[in-house]
Amino acid sequence: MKDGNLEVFIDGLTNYFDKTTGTEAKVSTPFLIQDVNKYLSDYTGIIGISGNYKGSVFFTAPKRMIIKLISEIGLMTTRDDKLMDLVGEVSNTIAGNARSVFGDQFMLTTPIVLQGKSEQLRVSSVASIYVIPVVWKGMNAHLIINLNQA
Amino acid sequence: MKFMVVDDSMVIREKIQNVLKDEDFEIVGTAQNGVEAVEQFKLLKPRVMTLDITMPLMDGIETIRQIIALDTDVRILVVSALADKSTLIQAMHLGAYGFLCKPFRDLELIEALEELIEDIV
Repeated sequence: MKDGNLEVFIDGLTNYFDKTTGTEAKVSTPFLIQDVNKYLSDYTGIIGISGNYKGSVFFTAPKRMIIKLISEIGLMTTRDDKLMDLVGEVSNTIAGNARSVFGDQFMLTTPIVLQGKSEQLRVSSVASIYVIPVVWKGMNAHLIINLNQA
Repeated sequence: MKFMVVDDSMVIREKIQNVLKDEDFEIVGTAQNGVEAVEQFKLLKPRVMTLDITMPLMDGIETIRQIIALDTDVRILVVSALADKSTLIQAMHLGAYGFLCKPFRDLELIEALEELIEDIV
């Protein structure tokens, strides 16, 4: 994937926080990594991509950020199933919005959500793995893009 | 007006119900995939519904096809993150009345639904 294509994911991420909470999320410069595991946080939503691109899109965030985010949506809860559902929905929304650039052959799976940190998650070693750091209300999360053009 | 919410995300289902609790809709049911949506639709016969596209078991496109086959008068607002034109065109061609891209502000949902039903209220 070209570095310039990261812009659509950054736009999707900032648009999500802006529209959902009215508070801007600040994104800093993306960087390349070899191993996703050290960046995984309390909850991780993963969207598998097939079609004209192959790979995955991750959104990973700490529990306190997701609790705050769900409260801004109007739901007061700390239930794990709802927090995991929301993380999946964030990742699905950011990946789905990218079809505005990549078209309808950018095919998405429904979200897979992981709870807790992992040391054994493996992603494609063919595609570069980009990490996009995001700060919202003083809390840090990461968007991870691992895509290869088919 | 009888209303149904279809989305695989329980957070989105609850958000939509919360946004509409002070509006003139009677939420008669919710469903988390297309199969459930068609079953619920046959039982509850809602007049208006919101419908996600990316869902397990049966996606929103096939759900529109099956629900429109049951009732051509139902007003379906597609609420999806899929932001490409061909998904929009396909959904509208099959009988959806409107399309709202996720993420959405509360007011955008209300306005989209008001537009959807303006000629039947």
